[in-house]
Amino acid sequence: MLELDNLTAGYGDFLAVQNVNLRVSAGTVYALLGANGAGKTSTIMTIAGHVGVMNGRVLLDGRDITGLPAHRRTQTGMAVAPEGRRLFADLSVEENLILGGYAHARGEEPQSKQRVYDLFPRLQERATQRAGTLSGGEQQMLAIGRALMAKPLLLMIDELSLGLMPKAVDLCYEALAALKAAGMTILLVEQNTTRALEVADDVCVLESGRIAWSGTSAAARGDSAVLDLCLGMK
Amino acid sequence: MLFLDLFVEGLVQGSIYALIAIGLTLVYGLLRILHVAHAGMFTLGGYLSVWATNASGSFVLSLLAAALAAGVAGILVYRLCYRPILHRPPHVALIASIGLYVGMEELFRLFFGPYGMSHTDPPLSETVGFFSMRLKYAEIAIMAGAVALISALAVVVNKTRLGMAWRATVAEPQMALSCGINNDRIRDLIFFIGSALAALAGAMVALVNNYAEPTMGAVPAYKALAIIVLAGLGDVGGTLLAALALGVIESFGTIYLGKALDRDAIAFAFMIVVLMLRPRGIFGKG
Ligand SMILES: Nc1ncnc2c1ncn2[C@@H]1O[C@H](COP(=O)(O)OP(=O)(O)OP(=O)(O)O)[C@@H](O)[C@H]1O
Ligand SMILES: [Mg+2]
Repeated sequence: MLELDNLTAGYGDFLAVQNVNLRVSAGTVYALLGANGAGKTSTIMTIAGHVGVMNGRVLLDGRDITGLPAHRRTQTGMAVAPEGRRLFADLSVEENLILGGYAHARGEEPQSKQRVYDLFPRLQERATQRAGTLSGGEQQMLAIGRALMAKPLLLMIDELSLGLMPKAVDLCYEALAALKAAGMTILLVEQNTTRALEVADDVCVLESGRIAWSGTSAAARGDSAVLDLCLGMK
Repeated sequence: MLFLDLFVEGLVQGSIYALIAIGLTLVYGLLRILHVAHAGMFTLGGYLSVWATNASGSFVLSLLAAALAAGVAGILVYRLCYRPILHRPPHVALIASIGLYVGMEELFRLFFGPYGMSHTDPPLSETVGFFSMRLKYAEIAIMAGAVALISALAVVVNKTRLGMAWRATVAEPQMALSCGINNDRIRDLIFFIGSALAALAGAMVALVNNYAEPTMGAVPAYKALAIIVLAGLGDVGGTLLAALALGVIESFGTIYLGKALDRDAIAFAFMIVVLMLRPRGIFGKG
């Protein structure tokens, strides 16, 4: 489904992602772990087309999308719920959702919206509220909902549980399980290693922009080196 | 009824300021550029409408032509002048913009001659009684036109997908891209709309004064700058109110302050006072 082929990317001279190879199979959850500053967000934003690629390729379903402008990537079947959510704060919940589906025909809007509301009934209650005034958990739901409006095959979520109350975290993980059951491919960045390993099929751990460990989540659970890497202690 | 006279005159003037300032604030909101050359679109509109009215005999047609031509010119200004330097610090674009404005003034001189241009047969110059006043049809058309244009803009911005896309691009350009919104098309559109509105304002001024000349944009340009600073940069609703307020204040000011303060200085006195009291503009937060 998604393949990063020897990918190197960064900002100006600074290489935030270096020689990364990874492969996410369709219908699986792939967890991208690592300490602060390891390059997880940079990896996701490179896939989304927001970070300059110096070398290597990004392949989606075998198609090379390395040079594709960011605004055309949603049509290739990817969507992102970014770190910090980055909602359109002054717009209503409903408007945020509508914009998530901007690349699709207007006729599909009601149906897509209903799917999101079924997943997160909370958002329907708040449909006319300004996104910036939602609680942290509701904002994360909206960020995921906005991404789902694009009807992605690959959903990328950066820091799913960061700053959320336990109950909101549970809600988000329930939604994730439901999406996975429905066949969605998910690339997940998560600080909460235990939680991520529960839901993921495959895992890689980044350290200073490079892959320091990769394997199945079962193997990761049995390897104390993974946890040390994620906490930034070698 | 001097009071009513002055008030209406102020509103007419304020409508014109609003039409100019809206484009300026839209561009600032989107790109953080003080688009000084915007005033050139105002002058362009003035010239084109006078020229096209004289050539075709139809004032309405000339308005359409002026709006369309200035809109396209606006897109060209964005693509050729601003887009290549967007990644540079804001003063680079500001300098480019001032240079562009000066260049445009000279182009108008070259094309249309240094002495300006008048309608051979000024349209809408008849007057009509309104309470105790006599108003030119042109003045009524300006107010009605400004209200219609600004309302239409408000509907587009607030009610359509395109308007949402524009607001999203202002708020979170990267996420707007990730939603499939082409920021560049949005910028084209903003330059088109802003320039077309400024051109219509220019056409209206050329109509009431029955005169278009190369430097007609200079005074409205700095007043529009004062207005958007007053309103809080990028705030469209505030811009509208500040424009109308300035029109009315100037109109009364010429009578009551005329001896001490020139009409065109009032805008600055007003701006200085407001910024001393509210550094972020009248409607600015904090
Ligand atoms: N816009 C940027 N410009 C320059 N450097 C950046 C930029 N964004 C990130 N970096 C740098 O790239 C490196 C990787 O950052 P990144 O945000 O990808 O890490 P992360 O793994 O997501 O960290 P965290 O867990 O804190 O979110 C860091 O050293 C960071 O300072
Ligand atoms: Mg991050």
